[in-house]
Amino acid sequence: MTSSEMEQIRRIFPDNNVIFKLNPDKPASNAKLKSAEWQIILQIDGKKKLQDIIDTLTLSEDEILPLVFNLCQKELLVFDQSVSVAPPQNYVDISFFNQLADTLVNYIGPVASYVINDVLLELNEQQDQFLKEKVPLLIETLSQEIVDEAKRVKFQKEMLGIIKNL
Amino acid sequence: MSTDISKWLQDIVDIKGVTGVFVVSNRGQIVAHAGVKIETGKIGRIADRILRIEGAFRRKGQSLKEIDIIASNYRIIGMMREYFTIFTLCNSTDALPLIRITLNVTIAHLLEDKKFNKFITKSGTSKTQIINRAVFNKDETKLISKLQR
Repeated sequence: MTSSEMEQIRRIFPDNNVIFKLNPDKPASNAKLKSAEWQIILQIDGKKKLQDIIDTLTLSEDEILPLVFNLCQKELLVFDQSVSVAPPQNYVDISFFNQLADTLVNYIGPVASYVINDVLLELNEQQDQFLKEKVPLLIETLSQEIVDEAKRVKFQKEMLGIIKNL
Repeated sequence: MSTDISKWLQDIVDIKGVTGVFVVSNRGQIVAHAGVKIETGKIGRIADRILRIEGAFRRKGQSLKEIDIIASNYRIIGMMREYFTIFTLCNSTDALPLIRITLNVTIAHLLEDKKFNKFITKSGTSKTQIINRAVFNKDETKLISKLQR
């Protein structure tokens, strides 16, 4: 499994607090499953968290996540999205990127929003799911686009004020 | 140390993973600090070592504004300017981009602070003067010759 596939799975199960239930409309008894998938099915009781299952089974997180994901895709497992979704405060509000573009445009001109998108692509990130803790890295990378050192620091100063209020 | 300088340094120490920050003159004296305390002698020795590294680069016509070293069980980020160096002691560098941005902004604040500038220029010699007078030992001279121009 590639890291980007793993990241995709992590977007669906951002943490190990998600609780799975067996899908009553699609019993697993009729399905053809690998032994590891059966082990997982046997652990599902509607109470155990994903972390509890990882702790019980002798499988690593990297092994178990794709299996759980497959079981969900086969509709054998269901889960409460409200429990699994990462706390929204971890992501920056999309309006932050407007604020960032408005600030950066004063330093590098109208290409600002294109440069932001380029850097996001480079960092393998997207605006709607951008973690707050990654904002300084984004600012630092964008700063490198400002040739004049004094202006670069001024931009960082402005952005530091914004980071503190995120 | 003015309240403003204390506040700027405290902003650095408040970052996760940072344990202390020191503004050190070119004579190795601690001008201001926040967070964990380190004896002047120890920080002076680190400052001396970094100054010699900076000197080696300058001899080759290269500038060195930032250095990242491990000493005294800390990862130390040194940001050098003509009359002073800021040392940031870290036990984790998870927030390195935020540390660097905050350091850049702090240095900008310090350079704009008239009282600080007056004090630091009076209490320390400029790096250019020190490095021009510096005598490097055999090993250092060998290393300098290996630095790419």
